[in-house]
Amino acid sequence: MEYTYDGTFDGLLCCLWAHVYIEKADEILPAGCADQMSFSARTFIETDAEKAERVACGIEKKISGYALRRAYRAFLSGEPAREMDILHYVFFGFSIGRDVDKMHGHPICRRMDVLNHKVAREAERLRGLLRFGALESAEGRPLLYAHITPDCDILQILMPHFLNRYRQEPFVIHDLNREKAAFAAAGRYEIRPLAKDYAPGYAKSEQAWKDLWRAYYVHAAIPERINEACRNRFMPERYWKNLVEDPNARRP
Amino acid sequence: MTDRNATMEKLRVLTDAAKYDVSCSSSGHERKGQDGRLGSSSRAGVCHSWTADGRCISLLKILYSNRCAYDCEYCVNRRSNDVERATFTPDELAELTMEFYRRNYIEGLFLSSAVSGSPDATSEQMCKAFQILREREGFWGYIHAKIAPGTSPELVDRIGRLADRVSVNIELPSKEGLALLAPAKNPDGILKPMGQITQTMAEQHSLAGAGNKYSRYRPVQRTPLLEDEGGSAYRSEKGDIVTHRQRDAARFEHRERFAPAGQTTQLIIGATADSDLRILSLSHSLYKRFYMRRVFFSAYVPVLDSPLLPARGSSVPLLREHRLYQADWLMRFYGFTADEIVDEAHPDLDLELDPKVSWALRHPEFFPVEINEACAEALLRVPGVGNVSVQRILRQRTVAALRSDDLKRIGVVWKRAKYFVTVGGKYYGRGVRHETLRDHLLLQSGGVQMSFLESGPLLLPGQDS
Repeated sequence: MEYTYDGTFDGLLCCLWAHVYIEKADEILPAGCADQMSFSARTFIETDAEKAERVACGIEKKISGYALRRAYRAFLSGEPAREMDILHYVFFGFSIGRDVDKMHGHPICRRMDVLNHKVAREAERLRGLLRFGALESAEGRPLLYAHITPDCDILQILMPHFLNRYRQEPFVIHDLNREKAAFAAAGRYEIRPLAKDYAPGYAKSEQAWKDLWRAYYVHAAIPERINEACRNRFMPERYWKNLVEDPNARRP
Repeated sequence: MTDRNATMEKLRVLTDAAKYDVSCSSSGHERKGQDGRLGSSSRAGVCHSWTADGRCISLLKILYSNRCAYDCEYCVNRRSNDVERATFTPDELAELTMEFYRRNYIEGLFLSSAVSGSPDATSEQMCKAFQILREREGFWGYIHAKIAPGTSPELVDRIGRLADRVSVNIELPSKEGLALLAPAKNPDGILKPMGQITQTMAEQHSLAGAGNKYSRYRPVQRTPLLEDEGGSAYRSEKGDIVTHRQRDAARFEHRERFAPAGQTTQLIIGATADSDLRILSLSHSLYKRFYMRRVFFSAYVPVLDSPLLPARGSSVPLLREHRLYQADWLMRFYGFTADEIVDEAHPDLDLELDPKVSWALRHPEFFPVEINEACAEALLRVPGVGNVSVQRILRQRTVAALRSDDLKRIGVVWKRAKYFVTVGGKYYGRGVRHETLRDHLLLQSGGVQMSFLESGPLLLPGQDS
């Protein structure tokens, strides 16, 4: 049986429930993903918070809290076939219990490690590469705004770090790929949809700080040691478009 | 902002002047944000960008001033060198740091300075900038302060209480080098502040030393257990009996105070004829004696004409610097000692192979190591097996034996490791004799080595560079 779901983690958990109580799943796809040829019947699984909760509790109790976190992080990776990988992992976990946390060499667990690593690495990179700009605001306190285009759905993973960093400043982090944004103020945040064509109105003084930063970036490099291949390994080109500095810039 | 063009000009000049310092890490101290303040600090540090030379930008690394009273041969900022000069004001610097930090460009400030006037006069100005940041602006991010040799103890103390990390640069790895190339500095002026910093941290029980739990540079915990009192109390420094709780509270309170991210230093590589043995045994003693968190190496970039130094435009010893860092890693994270890596018979590191492989080739008696039985310390010595792999091997061993396929998936570099291990009693490196193993590994690592060579400036393993 092929299942489709609404694209949320709760929806995926309901598919795991259906895998046990309705019929074995051969494939799980987000609804509206019509690019694949299919010969078997597709069933859409309604997301039911209660069922999802039961499955989540089951994973926590029969495997471990770490396993649930690991499955969730793997889900955030956005990799196309991750749903079945998570299914295999969860049911492998049900069969051997919490020891699954330690089976680093097993292919099913290895896959989870790879997906988790992808999410963690992107979050770590963006903690550094994300750039705020101050928006024009009526009140005295400037509003900070940043846009990102991550491969993984890492918005909520980034939030604890930035909430800790900005205890006073209100700020917005906008995920252009998923058209949603986290609005944060006074230690709390909320994620709401925000169209990708939203055009922020930056404060007048913003350009001066950007220019200073660009100058700093260029002058901090040692000309005798230029090694762009090395730089690009740490800072892949797909992250450049949201930066303030231009990695291609050379000293005048 | 005061005057933008002037700030821009100063930023250019003083960034150029500061860029040869290597350290840019914002790590070593975890600090939560606080209401009414801006910023936080994370133990692992955060990199915010990478410059075209592949080095990370974590902190705003800049000089307070490059007007220098000294004339050290190796330094771009020396008095007799004809470069543009500039000096910040504490306010300008504080504003720059705050605005960069707010925009998530940087994790904090790394402030150093040329010696303008005297070491104390310079440090006084730097201190003023830190004070404005911490006390007036409520800056709660990372501050790394460079301390000029010869700074007075009072100022070192004041700076240490405002900064997260402090460092005094040694620069030249030998007394002779110092006398020849930097006659205005004396070894005492460097070692005294270092000793003072270590002493202050020891008094507040915050010495952490370098590396992980396998490192030999972690201070031994002095916790004299008073058994006759039921083993639940300790004797404090003054000889009073204190409970666990009191002791921990006292430690915690202190830990926030003086240079919580510890002390580091830097050595210049290739400006003098010092061997790797000399450099590594010096870093060993710095780790041992001062409990440094890190000793940084900086390949000398010949940008000045001097009869005492490598000619301008000659190659930068990048590969040697790379090998020294690998050796440093072995000392801090793999339990190696300096004399295992280099000795009188082999005073310099092998530039063709990494120091761990070199050690393994010199010690065939240690291998093969059985993956399913060996202790962590032995596993760490296997080429191709790193800290993460060791932890994973140890964890999996508690539930299931490892096979060679598992090792590949765990992240072990199997093509290198297979010559040095057995897995469940089976050896997979047959067909290569020990005498030819070196050539075999060299051939294998050819790809990696070449890319390192091609992407950087021309590198020659010359002794003189």
